[in-house]
Amino acid sequence: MFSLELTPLLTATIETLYMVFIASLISIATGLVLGSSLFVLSNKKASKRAIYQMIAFIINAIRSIPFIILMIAIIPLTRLIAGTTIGTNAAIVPLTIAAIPFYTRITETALSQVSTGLLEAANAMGASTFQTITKICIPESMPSLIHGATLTIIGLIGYSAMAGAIGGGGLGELAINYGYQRFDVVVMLETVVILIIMVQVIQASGDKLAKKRRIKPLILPTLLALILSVSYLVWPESNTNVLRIGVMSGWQEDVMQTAKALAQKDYKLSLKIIPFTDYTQPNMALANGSIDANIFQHQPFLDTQVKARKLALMSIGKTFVYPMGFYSTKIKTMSHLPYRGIVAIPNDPSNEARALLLLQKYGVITLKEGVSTLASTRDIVENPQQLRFKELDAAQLPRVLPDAELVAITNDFITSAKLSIQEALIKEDKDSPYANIIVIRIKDKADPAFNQLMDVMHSNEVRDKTMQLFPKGAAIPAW
Amino acid sequence: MIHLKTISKTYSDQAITFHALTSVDLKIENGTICGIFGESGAGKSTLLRTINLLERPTSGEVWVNGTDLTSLSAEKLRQARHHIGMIFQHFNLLDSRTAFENIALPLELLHETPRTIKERVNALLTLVGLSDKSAHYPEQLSGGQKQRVAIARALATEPAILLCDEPTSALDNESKQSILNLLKEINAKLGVTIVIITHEMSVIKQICTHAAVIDHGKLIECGSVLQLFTQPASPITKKLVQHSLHIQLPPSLERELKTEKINTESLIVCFKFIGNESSRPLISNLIQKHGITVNIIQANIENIQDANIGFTVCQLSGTEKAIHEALDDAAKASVSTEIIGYV
Repeated sequence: MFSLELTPLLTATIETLYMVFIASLISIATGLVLGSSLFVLSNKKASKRAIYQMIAFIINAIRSIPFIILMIAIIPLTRLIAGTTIGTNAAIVPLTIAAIPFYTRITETALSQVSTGLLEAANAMGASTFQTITKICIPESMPSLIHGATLTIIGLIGYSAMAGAIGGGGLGELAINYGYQRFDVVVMLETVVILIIMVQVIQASGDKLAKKRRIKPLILPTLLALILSVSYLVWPESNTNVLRIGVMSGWQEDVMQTAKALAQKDYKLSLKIIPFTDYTQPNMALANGSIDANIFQHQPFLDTQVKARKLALMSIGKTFVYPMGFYSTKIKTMSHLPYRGIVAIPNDPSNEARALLLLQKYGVITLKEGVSTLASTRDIVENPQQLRFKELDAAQLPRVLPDAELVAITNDFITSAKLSIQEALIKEDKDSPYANIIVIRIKDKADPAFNQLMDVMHSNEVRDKTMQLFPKGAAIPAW
Repeated sequence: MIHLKTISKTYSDQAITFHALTSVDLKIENGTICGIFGESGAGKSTLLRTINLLERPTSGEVWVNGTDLTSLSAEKLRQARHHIGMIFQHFNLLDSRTAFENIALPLELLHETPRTIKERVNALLTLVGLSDKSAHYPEQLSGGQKQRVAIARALATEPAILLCDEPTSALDNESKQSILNLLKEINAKLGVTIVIITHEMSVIKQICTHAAVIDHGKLIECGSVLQLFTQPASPITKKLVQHSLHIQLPPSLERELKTEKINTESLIVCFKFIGNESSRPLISNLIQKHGITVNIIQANIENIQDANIGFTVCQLSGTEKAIHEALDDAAKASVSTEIIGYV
């Protein structure tokens, strides 16, 4: 279970290098141009100062937006540029946008440190503004520019960890998938070690180049990396007859590996598994054509999303019920639940409702009538025990077992947290409405490939793999 | 020819207005070496920078070889600047470029071919005596060598004018001498007009053919260096010349010296003899013909502009009439006389 194949680690490393390389290249080049323009404008008279102030404002605005928000905010732009909003290429867009203002400022600062004497000499020589920048200011501030580039690249490696939210892959995502979602410390450490090595190498090379003031040694490796990147970019796209399936990163990926092998063998159907770490993205990606199907949600969740976002999506069948349960390391049975005890529940709307509905079913609380799968803690009308509810990220819940009397844990995390469904004090049964479903775009419903996908998901192999990963009733076939 | 026509420069910063230059009118002939002398803050640096319009005068015109630079467009001005070289007190070389590459820079700005650049730069390196330092970075060069590179860089575009902003102030004495000699050599070999600002009279004395003295933003005096040293007109120039010639009276005399004409029967004068004339005939003539007492206090010979100039400081005593006639005689013998004071 703690073993690691070379492939995912290698793939993730390549993805990180690719993302960071392209994003660095574009952001440093753009930042250099913008920073030089700011430098020129800042020395100009009042009329040009207005343009300077405007660019400076935009730069400050982008720099103040948290990266994860920026990533979501610029989704339309990402689609325009990358053609999709998920995957490694899509991740490059927000990475670049985030890094450009940073390097712009670095360039502006570096150039403004060129001595006034040199600028005067350039002026006396009859150098144009462009020549002053390219022939004098940039070469003279090369050490600062290289140090700044090093900072930018290392910053991008940090940001790229968040690319997992839009299926960008990379080491950061691998660390989160295995380390955070699956509690696999070894993989997490391995990715962290690779990241540390990467950062150290970049820092050391940056320092060395800055000392030598020369970037010529970079030209050949950069060209080589560019060629490799372009081929990486073109390679997977050559295979067009592929169904792209979005799933939650974690154990679901392992289940899908079995499905993928079977689909290839029995139906000559190629599946590409796209892991997500966030519950909203897979439906958005499906609706905009970045993936062809997703298997991660239950009907109530899909209904809410379809309603809220007007998505033309539909379910074509159920897979498994992964029953939610309430666990505790503090109390043995529900009757021991103390007055004003702490109850930790998921913070995503769908699973929060699911946890509250389960508590209502066992008579712990009463919810406002008719709220059903949209219930939130504000809909609690009766709470005789005065229980205190804490809403947490789903993956965080197993970790708070020592701190709460009752913890709702979705099935995804039971095995990782070394719990078993049998330890649950209360749990959903097989008639739960929360069975996972296979969701596709409505306009694709006639495509026979999806019937094949259904057959694969309902096959003995997939069922066995699922039962093996989610033993002792943690997954109940729902078809 | 450089002709600055009634140049004024004022800096306004809200309430405070500062007059850096006030109606300066200055002509500098081609092929000369013109020194602009002034104390720090006198406005000499501003004046130098108006010649290539690094400082744009508030009013006045800057004529360089028949063109009024103040009337040019930005683009035309840039082109004009290619023909005006400039060197600085702190050299202003690019640390990222070797000596060769620094000198090549102005040629690169003009998009010269690599071949032309190589030929020109190598010739310039030879001219400034740094052929063996071609691949050295500025940090590997001494101050004097850096200034040599800067001079070569300023000459790369074969300018007609070389502006020098205190080029020797940051150098030790030995380097200073060699740089001054180099500038003189360049002027002689290439016929480049050199404008040099300095706060050291020794620089003026050593290489300039012409000099201008400015004080508090005003042009006090200008003319040939010979004239300036032998016949200074303004009190400021007189004082400067005396100081630079190390004319110093014994302390007892110095204490009694008055500048007002109170006692015309005893005065201190400085006779200046140009060329190889000797002061002896004049002095013995004064004694014999006019019957006055001549007490020689100090005498020395200075080399200015390749001419020997003798300075004899003496105390003249006699009747007012005799002294007056004696001084008239001296003037007839084309010996310039400067009255230092009365005792």
